[in-house]
Amino acid sequence: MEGLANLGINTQSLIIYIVNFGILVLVLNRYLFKPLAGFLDKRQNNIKQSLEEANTIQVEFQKKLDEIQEEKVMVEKKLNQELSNLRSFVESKRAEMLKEIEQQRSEMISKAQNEVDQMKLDAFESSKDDLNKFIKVALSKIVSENISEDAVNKSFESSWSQFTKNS
Amino acid sequence: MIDKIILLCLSLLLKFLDENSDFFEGTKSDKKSFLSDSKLPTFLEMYLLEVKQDKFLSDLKDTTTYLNTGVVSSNNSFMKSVSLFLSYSLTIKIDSLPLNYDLESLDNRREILEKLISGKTDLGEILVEYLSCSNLQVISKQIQSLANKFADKKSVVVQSSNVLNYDLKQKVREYFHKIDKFCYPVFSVQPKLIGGLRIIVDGKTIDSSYANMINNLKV
Repeated sequence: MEGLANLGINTQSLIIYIVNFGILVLVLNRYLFKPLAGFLDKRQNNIKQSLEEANTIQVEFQKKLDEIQEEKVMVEKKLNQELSNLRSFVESKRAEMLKEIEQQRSEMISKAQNEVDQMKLDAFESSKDDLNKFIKVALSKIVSENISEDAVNKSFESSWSQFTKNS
Repeated sequence: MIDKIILLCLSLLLKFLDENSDFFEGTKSDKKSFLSDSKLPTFLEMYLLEVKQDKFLSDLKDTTTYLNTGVVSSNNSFMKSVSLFLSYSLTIKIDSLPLNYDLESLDNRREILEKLISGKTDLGEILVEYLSCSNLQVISKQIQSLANKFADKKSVVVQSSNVLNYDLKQKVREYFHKIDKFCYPVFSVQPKLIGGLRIIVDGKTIDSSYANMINNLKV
């Protein structure tokens, strides 16, 4: 004790300080540290729970994401398949239409060619007919103007003989 | 006018039968001897030679009906004889008439006809009267109309560019007469034919005219 007093420390004051400190510790422990620890524990639990929930959500989200991804892949695959089908359908249709158009074109060309040929033939026949008519008219005129009466009378006899022979 | 000829023929027959009342009772040779003295036209003699009394009476009745109504039975032998006379014997005489006959005066026509139809008989006189007072085309139509009542070949038309000569006309008439006694060929002039003949028999045409030949030429 004397030593403490030699060092200038009052034992009494020290005891009072120690008691005060003890009281302070008790008060603080009761009104500050414990609620604070409870609050911290509660908060820690909340955070832990939130984290767990977040984990659960993340797992679910990941699962959903995977499902969506998987579905997306399937849809893409299906879409690709349909696109491929559509392409082949369009291609076949295109080929079919091209063939049909080609056929129609050939037919039209052939028809046009036939019409042109027919028109040529008609024009030729028409001019041939005209020429024929002209020749016949001219021939009739020449014969009727130049035939002698004797020849005409002979033609009657000849026609009659022919008729009696054929009848 | 044809009715007048038919009536005259009937009256000639009746007159003859009146004078020879037992004509139908005799044999064929008796009939021939009766007819040899008569002045009947040949076609009526032929008719009387073939016909029996019943048939004669039936023909008489039918001819009276014809004169009243214009309808004649196809079995009427008397009408057939008259028709045959007109459409063949008389027509051949008509064919021999000159080309300008229709243009002649009435007196000239009578003169021509009197030369053509020999004998001064009642029938001859009425034929001269008939032929001189009408156009030959009209007469031809009347004769054809009567002949068609008995003919199988109703229509025979011979077309030529000029008028056919008498000989050829006769040949044509003889030819068709052999096929059908009542056939009455009609001759028609079609200058467009140029030469040859076009013969139309009941709508069927046999065309050997020059016009047809030219028309059928292929150039």
